[in-house]
Amino acid sequence: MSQEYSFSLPYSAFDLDLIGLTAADVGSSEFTEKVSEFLAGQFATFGGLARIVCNDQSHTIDVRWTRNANFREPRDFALELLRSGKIGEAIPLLWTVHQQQRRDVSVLFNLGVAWSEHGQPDKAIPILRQLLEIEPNHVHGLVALGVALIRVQQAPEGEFLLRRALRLEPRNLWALRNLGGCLLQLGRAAEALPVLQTALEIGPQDPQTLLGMGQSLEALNRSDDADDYYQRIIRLGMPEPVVELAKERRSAIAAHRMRSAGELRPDVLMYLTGAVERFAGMSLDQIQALGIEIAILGQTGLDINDPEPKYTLRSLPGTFSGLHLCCLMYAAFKKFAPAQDVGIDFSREWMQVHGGR
Amino acid sequence: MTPEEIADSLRRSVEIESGKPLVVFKDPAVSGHGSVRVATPDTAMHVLRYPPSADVQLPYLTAFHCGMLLRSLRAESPQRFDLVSTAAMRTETQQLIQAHLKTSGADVPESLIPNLCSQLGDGLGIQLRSMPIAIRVDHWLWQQYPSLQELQRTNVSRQLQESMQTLGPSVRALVPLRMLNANLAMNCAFAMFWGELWGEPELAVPYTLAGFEAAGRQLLEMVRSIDSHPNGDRHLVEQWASHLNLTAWYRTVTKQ
Repeated sequence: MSQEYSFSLPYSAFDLDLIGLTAADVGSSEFTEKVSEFLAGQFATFGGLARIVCNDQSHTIDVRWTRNANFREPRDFALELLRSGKIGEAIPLLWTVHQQQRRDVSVLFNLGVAWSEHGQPDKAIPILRQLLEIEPNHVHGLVALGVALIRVQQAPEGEFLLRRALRLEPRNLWALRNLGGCLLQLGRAAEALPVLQTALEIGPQDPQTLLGMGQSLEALNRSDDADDYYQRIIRLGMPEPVVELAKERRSAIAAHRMRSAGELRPDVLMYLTGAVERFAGMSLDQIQALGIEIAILGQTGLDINDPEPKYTLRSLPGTFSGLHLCCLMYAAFKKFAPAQDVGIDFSREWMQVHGGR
Repeated sequence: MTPEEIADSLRRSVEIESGKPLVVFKDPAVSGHGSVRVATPDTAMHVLRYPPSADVQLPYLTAFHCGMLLRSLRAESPQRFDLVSTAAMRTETQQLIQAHLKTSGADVPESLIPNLCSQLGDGLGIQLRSMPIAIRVDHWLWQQYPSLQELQRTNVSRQLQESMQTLGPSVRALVPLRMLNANLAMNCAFAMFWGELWGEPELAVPYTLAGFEAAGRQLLEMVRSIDSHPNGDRHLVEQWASHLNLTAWYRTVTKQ
């Protein structure tokens, strides 16, 4: 089996005479381009495979090569990194491949998406524009650029591109979902709703679409309907950030319902008063342990609309309703971490129980 | 001959020509490619120590170290030599290393600096003493013993890969430029030699990028042009030292 070799050379140690640049050029895009070209030339005829990365984060030229036929080509390796979520590692590799194949549509697309997903949409935009100059009807390119533009608050152009993508491919889930999100961002929830409904026909389990549906319905004052979509996301269980967002929205809806129901909720007042009395006989450590136990339990969702006592705790005997636990948690956090936002607002009831303190 | 038979044969040659046995030890304290302590008039044997991880490589390692010993034994006095470091090497490398560590930001505790200075200074001397001759020995083994080539290739490939790591930022943070440049020029010559022998010129690319192509080529040219008999080894090492600007730090002395 052929040996695989690798080395890493700092930019500052590169022999600039080889590429006709000066120290002032080190790290510039011209430097990266010329280094890549030079190395590509060095490895062009050796009959094996090489991966060359100009890494702008570590300021090193990272090279790996072998004559082994099973070696993964740089582009394949970058795609593998992207698939496994290692976007930060894939970007320098894609950027270097891009220096060698500047009009390669697939590289432009993947690099653009990688930058956009890695929180650098400003870098993604010119790359994706290059892609569309080469291939104006590249549907995924249109969507990716649309998404990147929405991320830099240029939603109107984003909307235009997403609609163009949908004219070419009307049932493109990615485009539909993002157009829905875009319209929502532009305050046009009523327009977003049918777009997201179409998306949902294509991908009924798509968490982002479900979230968009929930948010649109909320914006249209249909919180009960929105809650159904959030519950569907929580049942799906992933991806975690979307599930967390769904839980947050459910809590907000529940809190809003309570607020709308009246000035002060007697059941909350009762539970908070009970909590304060109970805490009088407990140490701060015990209160903290109780608060944290409920918070952890709450991560899987506490149903505060169901009055049935169905929850048990390790640190406190008895069974509790969801609302009762939320009150205990709220009161506990007020004791050991009063500045912490526990995700539910009982401040007015708390003021009442504590006499304004 | 099998690799084991080649190793045994060379070992016997060492024992006959030196009149002392060669003892081989597996030693977890040894790293890399093993080391040899050559018998002196006061000691009864040569000792080859090799790391447990090199068990499979042992026939090649034995053959290689025997080749090095045989060249030394076959050199006629006064060409049989040792390389010693000068007082200037100790003081100057220490100053260089201390000054370099202050600017490089390498996190080396003060208490470890003297040890680091010894390691780097002695290591450079060992490389200067062994690498030019190692190229000759390895070339000879490659040509004379085809059945050893697979083990040799595995071992040398590993060595080439390890050498390439000295180009990286972590080594640069520890080693002052003057010492690093000498090390990299020698590594370049070594990589060029194997690149040419195996038809894999890309092995020298790392050093080309760092600007060592000319230096490496000149060192390799010396290996080829200076008397290839073991009597020429001393001159070869002296020429490498001169070319690498290391004559103030290391000098050859005639072996008694």
